[in-house]
Amino acid sequence: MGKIHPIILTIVFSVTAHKLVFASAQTAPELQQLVTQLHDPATSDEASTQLKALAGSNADARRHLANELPGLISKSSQDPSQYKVWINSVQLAGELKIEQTIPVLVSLFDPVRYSRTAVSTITSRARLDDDPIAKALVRVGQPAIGPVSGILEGKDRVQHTRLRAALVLYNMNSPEADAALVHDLQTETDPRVRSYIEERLKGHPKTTVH
Amino acid sequence: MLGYNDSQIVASVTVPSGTPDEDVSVSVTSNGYNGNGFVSGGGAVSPTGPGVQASVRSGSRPTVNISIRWSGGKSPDNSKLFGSDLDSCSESLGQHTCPNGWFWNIEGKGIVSDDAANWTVAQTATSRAKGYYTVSPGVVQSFDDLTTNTPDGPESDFLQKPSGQTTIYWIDGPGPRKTYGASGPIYEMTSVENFTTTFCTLVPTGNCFSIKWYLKAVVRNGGILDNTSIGLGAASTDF
Repeated sequence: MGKIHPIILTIVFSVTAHKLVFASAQTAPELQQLVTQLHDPATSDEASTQLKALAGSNADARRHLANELPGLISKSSQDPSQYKVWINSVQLAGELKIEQTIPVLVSLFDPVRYSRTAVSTITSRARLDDDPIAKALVRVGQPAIGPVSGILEGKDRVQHTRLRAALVLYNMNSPEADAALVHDLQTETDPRVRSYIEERLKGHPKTTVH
Repeated sequence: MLGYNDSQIVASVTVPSGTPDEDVSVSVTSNGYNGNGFVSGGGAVSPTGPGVQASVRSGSRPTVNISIRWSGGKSPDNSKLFGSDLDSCSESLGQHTCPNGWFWNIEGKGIVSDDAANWTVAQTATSRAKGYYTVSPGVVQSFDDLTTNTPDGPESDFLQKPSGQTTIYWIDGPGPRKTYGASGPIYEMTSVENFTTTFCTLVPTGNCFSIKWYLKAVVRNGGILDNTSIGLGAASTDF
């Protein structure tokens, strides 16, 4: 009996390895097709849904998107007819927390590009529901803290842009992001930005504002 | 025993405070008499009689009186700030034309019969916005957006319900933005947002009270707010 176990293990391993190779081979064309569909406004929504599911469990798909999305976000942002491609790409970047998209998201942060929703409420604005770029940066989280802090501390930027950056950091809801807000307060000269940060941080009682 | 007399026993059943609403069965069990255990008068008779069904219901559920104000100043004891909203441009109630939108600041208030901390507050929004936005000079594009029962907070930054007090406040500032999508200014539009704000007790569950209110805005002439109205109830989205 003692010799049977290694044999069974070998067979199981062989079958598993075969399945992995097969799955990878099967995924590659499917992945390429989905990415192609993501580029087309007519098929972008469905492709985005499938890519999100695929990349959540497939490292190859994730790597592929990490290469693809920065260029796609940048390119589609320049053409209003590519709105669906743009918003799906931005949402994928955030939902999959793809760090490689941080530079393009930061470059497109200002001026604000709202999603196609006319009405809003105080809650939808606080959640950044209609601000896809800012929302994506919130979702990417920790790796985006430095670049978003750079926007907040860019004293030459318009006040609304700096307030949005502060809200992105606040919505990350992490000690590191709150620390970036507290750091800005040390040199903040705009009374509106200062009071905004101080008031928002009251919602994070563990963060101390000196 | 050589004989017996029937005696009526009247027993009261006391329900401890805090008992949830429930349906129960109440029965009587004989422990016997005069130090002797229960003795059946004949045959196999159980010392426990048949159960009777009874319902336990709270006699005084907590209640709330909900109201909304949409003009004037905020209540002095309401510490929530419209300034916590990055697009708000005023701390006073009422309609405000802000740089990024036409927002109407409101203050909601609930006076509860017990303790504010015992309540949850949740809001849903159903909306329609229909109109045109400017794509490029002289070129407009139509839009018609509907949302249904979207969860709409209120988040803690805009909700005050301190433990030990009976007044709950929430603030909101609904309204349309001035741009549609990435960079298209609203050209003309009719928008309606219908809200339902619901207060519920944590215990008992299901003890809820709602208020419905709406905001309607009409934008004309290339992006000028023509009229706007707010009130209790719901506005038609049939336009």
